[in-house]
Amino acid sequence: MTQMTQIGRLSVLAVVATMAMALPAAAQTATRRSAPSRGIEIGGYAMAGNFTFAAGDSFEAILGTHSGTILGGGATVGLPWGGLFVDIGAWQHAADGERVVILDGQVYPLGIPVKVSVVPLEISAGWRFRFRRLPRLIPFAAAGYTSMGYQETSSFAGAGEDGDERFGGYHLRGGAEFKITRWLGVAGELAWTTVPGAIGNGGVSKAFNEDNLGGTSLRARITVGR
Amino acid sequence: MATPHVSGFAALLMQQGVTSPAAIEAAMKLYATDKGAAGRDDLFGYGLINPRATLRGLGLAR
Repeated sequence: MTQMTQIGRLSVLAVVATMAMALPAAAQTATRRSAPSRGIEIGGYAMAGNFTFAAGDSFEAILGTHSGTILGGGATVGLPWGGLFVDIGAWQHAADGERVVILDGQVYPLGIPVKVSVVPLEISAGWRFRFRRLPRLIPFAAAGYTSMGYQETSSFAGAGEDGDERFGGYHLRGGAEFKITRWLGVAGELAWTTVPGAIGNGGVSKAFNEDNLGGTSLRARITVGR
Repeated sequence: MATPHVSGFAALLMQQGVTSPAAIEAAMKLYATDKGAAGRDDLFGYGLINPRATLRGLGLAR
């Protein structure tokens, strides 16, 4: 009976010792899971938002509004150095308007349809700020190069009256991403783009002395990946 | 024979909503094809009226 009691005590001690040794291992695993990954993180996103053009008078005259919906997407690669990441994305805004004549500052629509389309390609580098207290919320800031595609086509166009060109500029972006799950998140960001000298050599942009094809945009994203 | 052409052009502009006489005159002068010395001169005035250029108007950057 005494031997049985001793065996029982030893068994209990062995189980406790095993659990005591196993707990730190489990804790290590948990720590490893919650710690931010230091490897390369790849993700993609779909984006929708609103772009307000800097050349407001020109777009207002032709399209009847100086802002419009943008749709796009891209890919982000988180680099293994702190919060550094690179991003490549593109979006499009296309709208229909009509050609006008400006006389004494007054705009007269002429009923000739014109289609304006801007398609920028944005290459950014930035930093994600991770906070231990708010692991799901990831603010970020980035800056980069913009290659702005501009297309203008209209009915009954003669030689040189339609255009399809690309111009260089820069952008600044900032916002925050909220991770719903480990692989899915939503983000909001504010971006400022400048593309000086892209317009202003003809059309209403010359009449209004506006040469910047940039503007400010508010964007919402759905992100997939880490 | 200038008067009928200019009157017809003015009518086209009015049809597009440009009804102010001053605006019609400004449109004709603005888009006229310059002749002779650059700008207005006593021989050709502002040049030849150009209904196509005027009624085609301006795009955003073109």
